[in-house]
This record gives sequence, C-alpha cells and structure tokens, in this order.
Amino acid sequence: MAFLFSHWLWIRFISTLLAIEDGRGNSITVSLNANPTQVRESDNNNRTRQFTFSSIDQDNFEADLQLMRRIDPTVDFLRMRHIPIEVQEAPEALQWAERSATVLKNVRDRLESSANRENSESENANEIQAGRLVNLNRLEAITTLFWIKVVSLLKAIVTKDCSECQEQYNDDLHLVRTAFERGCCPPLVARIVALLFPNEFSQPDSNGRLALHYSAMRPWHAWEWPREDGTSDVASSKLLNLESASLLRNAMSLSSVASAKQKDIIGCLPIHYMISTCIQACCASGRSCSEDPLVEMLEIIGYFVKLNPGSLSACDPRTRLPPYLQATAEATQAKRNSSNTSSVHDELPLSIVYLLLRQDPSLMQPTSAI
Amino acid sequence: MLALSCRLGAPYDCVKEILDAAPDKLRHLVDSRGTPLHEAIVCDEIGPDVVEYLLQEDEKLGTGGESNSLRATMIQDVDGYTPLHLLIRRRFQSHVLADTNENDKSYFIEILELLVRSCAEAIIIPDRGEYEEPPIVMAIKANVYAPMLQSEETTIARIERHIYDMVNCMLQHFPEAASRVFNGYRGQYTALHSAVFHGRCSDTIELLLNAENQSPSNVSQKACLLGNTQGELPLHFCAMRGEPPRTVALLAKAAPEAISKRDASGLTPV
Repeated sequence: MAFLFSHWLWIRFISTLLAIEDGRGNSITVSLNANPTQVRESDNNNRTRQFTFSSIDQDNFEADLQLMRRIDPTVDFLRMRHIPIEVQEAPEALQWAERSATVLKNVRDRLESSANRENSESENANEIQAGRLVNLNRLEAITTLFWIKVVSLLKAIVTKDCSECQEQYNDDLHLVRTAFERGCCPPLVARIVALLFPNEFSQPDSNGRLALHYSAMRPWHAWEWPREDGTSDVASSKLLNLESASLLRNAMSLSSVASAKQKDIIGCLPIHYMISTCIQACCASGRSCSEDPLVEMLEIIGYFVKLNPGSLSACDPRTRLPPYLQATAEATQAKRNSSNTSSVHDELPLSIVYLLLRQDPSLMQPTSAI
Repeated sequence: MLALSCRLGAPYDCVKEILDAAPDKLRHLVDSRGTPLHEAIVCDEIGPDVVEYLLQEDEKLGTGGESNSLRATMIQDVDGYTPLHLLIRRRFQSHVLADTNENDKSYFIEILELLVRSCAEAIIIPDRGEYEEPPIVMAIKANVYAPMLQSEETTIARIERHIYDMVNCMLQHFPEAASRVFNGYRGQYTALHSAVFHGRCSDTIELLLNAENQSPSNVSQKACLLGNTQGELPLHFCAMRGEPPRTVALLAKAAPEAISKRDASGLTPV
C-alpha cells in the first residue's frame, strides 16, 4: 500500500485538489499581483530565480475575505478533523507533489516575467498595474495559497533558529534545509521545496551539509514505527508510518551521486549520520514495534553504500571508526544510556555490521581502515 | 416593578423613577430570569440611555457591604449568563440586520461599550454550559447566534467586521482576556483557540495576539502553545480548517515552536 505521509496542511490541500478534480468551481480565476520586490537581487546583482510569492491578499478586508471564500473555502469545525479516505491511501501522491511543483514553477515564471516586463517597459501607472497582474486559474491559486502557507511556516522556524544561534540568514538555503531536517515537514512537501529550489538543494550550507545530510540526520519519531498491537490502523497512523524513510528516499532520488560523497566541515558523510539516526531510533522504539523500519533502514544504508562504495572504509570523525564499527560503538553507548530492552534495539547494529561487511569482506583484514 | 419595566421597554423617565425609588432592586435576581439589567439588555426597545443610567446606579451601589456584593453586570442568570452574554446571544443578529437597512437603528455597539467600560471583568465570566463560555468567546462565535443571516459573501464579511469590532472593544478595556485560560469540554482553551476554531478573520486573530503581548498578566504559557485534550494548538486548527495564509503566518510568527508540535494523532500543522 502506498502511503501519503501527510500532516494537516497537506491533507487539506489534497482534499481541495480532489474536490477540484470532481469539477467543483474550476472555472474561477484570480489575479495575483506580481510585486516587483519579490524579485530579489543576488550578490553579483543578477536576478535570482528564487522567487517567493506574495500573499494573494490585497489589503482590502471585504474583498480579500470574499476572494478567499471563492478560491479556497475553509472547512468548518464539524468537518475539520476528517481525513478523506482518498488522502489516506493515495497511490498517486507522488504525482500530486510533482504536479504541484510544476504548477508553482509555472506561476513563478509568469510572476517573474511580469515583474521584468514592468521594470523594462511601462512608464504609465495603469500599464504598470495591468502588467503586474498574473491571472491564475483555481488550481494555480489553491496551489499558490498552499505554498505561501508552507513558506510562512518554514520561515518562522528558520527565523527562530537563526536568531537563537545567530547564524547568517540565507532565505532559500535555510528553507530547503528546514524542510528536510525538521520532523514537522511531510516528505512530499519537502520534495516540492527541493523541486522549486534545485540549486539550494544541491548546495552545501555553512556547515558543509547538503539536504541529504539533513534528511539522514532527521530523527525518526515514534509515530513512524508501525505498531504490531493494531493501533497503526487509525487514519493518522497510516499517514505517518515510515515517514522519515520516505523523506530520505525522496532526498536520494533528487540528489546526484556526488552528494553521497560530500563530507561536511567535520568530515561526516551522509551515511555516518544515517547510522547514528538508525541507532537512536531503534533505542527509542518500543518492544511492540514492527520490524518494517529496520528493513527500510538497512535498505537505505545499502543504497548509500551503492552510491559511494568508498564510504565503507571512511571513518566517522566523531567515533573515528568506519561505518560498520561506528554502528556497534554507538549501539553500545546508546544501550548504556538507555533502559529500553527492545529486541529491535539489539538486532539492528548487528544487521548493519553484517550488511556492510558483506559489501566488502576485506574490511576485516588487518590492513583495513582502523 | 423595575424588572418588569425593563422587560417591557419602558421609557427612560419611567425606569429612572422606579430605580430611584428602590436602587437596590437593580441587583435583585428574579428566579429563572435575571436582574433588571438582564431584562433591559434583551429588550430591543431599550436604548443606551436607559442602560447607561442602570449602569451608573449599579456603580454607585458599589461592591461588598450589606447589599449583594456583586455588580449587576457580573450577576449570572439561571444559565450562567451575564448581561453581556445575553446582549451578544439575543441582539447580535438584529444588529447585523439593522446594518443592511437604513431605517433600522441598532444600539448594539453602544450598549456593549457601556457594559464593557462599566465592568470590564465581566467579559471573562464563564457561563454554565459545557464549554464554560465567557462573553469574549461568545463575541468571537457570534455568527452562531445569527442563524437567520444569509450566507452571502457580503453578509459574511459584515459579520466578520462586527465580530472584530466587538472583540476590539472588549480587548481595549480588558486586554488580559486574551491570555485568560478557560475550561471547556475538550480541555483548556483561550479566546485565540476559539477564534481560530470558528474561522475568524486574520484581523481578529491579530487583535488577540497583540492583546496577549500587551497583557500585564503573568501567564506561564502562551495561548498559541496551549493544547486541548487532543493536543491541538491554534495552529493545528488553522491548518485543519485551511485558513488563509495571513492567519497561518500570524500564528507561526507568534509561536514558531507550535509548528513542530504533534496532536494526539501524531500530526503536525504542516
């Protein structure tokens, strides 16, 4: 079964898309004002493509209220907790994300060209106003509204993080990083972010880390472990099962092979972070948890090795051990610090060692890395 | 007699004469009805002049002492409604309708302001229903008390504007109301929870957030981070309902921590 991996904003967005597909209110169009301040100047004074959309609100109380009700009406409190069955089991979830990214790119291009046209041609105020307007159909308007909300949420996290650690603020790079690092962001929303900001996705940040590092570092939340006691059947559990694994797979599918070889400033490869995350997740899991995540973890680690076979002997700078020994060292340390006696916890480090040594048995020879 | 004259919409002079003869009757609670002030508030014929006089006399009576210690504005009827509760429940609809008709004159906002100015603490007195709603929450969900209003876009915008005006009036006189925690059927909540839950416009949400920031009260937790029994924060409600971007941005900016919070089903607002 394909899972959608959703949270509330995404659930509501998909519900609205489903309603549009039914043909309800498709013909509505809306004019979006392309504010020239949206086009930001990069350091070398060239225009960047990193466009953020303005709000569709035009600062007119009544008009804005009516516009919103027409384009993207809210759900009342009686129905707001309902998760439609189509959202729970959605084989076409990936296509929705891809399609949304395409729609957003298209709107962004039109906004950008509209702003460019305005700056270069018109001197007349009316022409400027007309030139700024970009007409959106309902699908584009709803997708744009969804995107504005996603950006405002991710930016609120970024602003808080940057103010706390006094880090230099790079809007789009931090946006991509936050989408892949934070457990609050559903994998397909992170995918849309990556598709809209391909340069930032493959660009290392000040820590030398790519989005792939951050997705490998993202902690696996207890909700993501399917439970063997049957409680995973509720709608929300279905939406969360193996969410971080899905995010990682999305990050890997969009990353170049070279990304798996990228070391951050302390010398860690994505596989090193992945092993740490797996060990921590297993320690936090309960006895009644399913073993599906272990299979996922091992597959993803195996995939990292396939992308970068050299990582088998690359020492993790924190433990100064190659990945297969890093797994056992971190597991021993975690076991010492944890009271959790889950069998899941014991099996994974051994499985990682077995998996990695099978890839290259010569690691056991005395000449190998340690 | 005072209660009867208020109930029947007697003119100012008549009410004044009766009240002057026996001022303490202003706080007399008639079984299953309320005080004369309650009667006056629900009577469409009673204007701000009468209400103002009743409130002046109520203020003169003071609090404590031998007479009933509570102000008439704070006394609750059998359902736990204060005069402010009743004003919103019974006269909001006709107020919005009067807005559409040039021949009708509504004194709703004037009366509301008189009540709030005279006794601001009354806006946080909970009723005796399962959600223990105070007048500020009733004001936030006032559209519920106006079932006859049509769902036309212009009417909805007008309702939103009137709700904004009511909440603004209340918070100007008592900003602490924004951070006050109430106990409802689904656990603790604040006016902000109610506003997002009922889909209030972003201007009203902003009012509440600003009032909370200005409030001098010492609250341990921000309203934005208070969860109900389902673990739902205002930002969850906002995302569940599909509220407009400005509301999302306001709540996210007010408490970025809320973005990573999971409700009882493990879902975050994103």
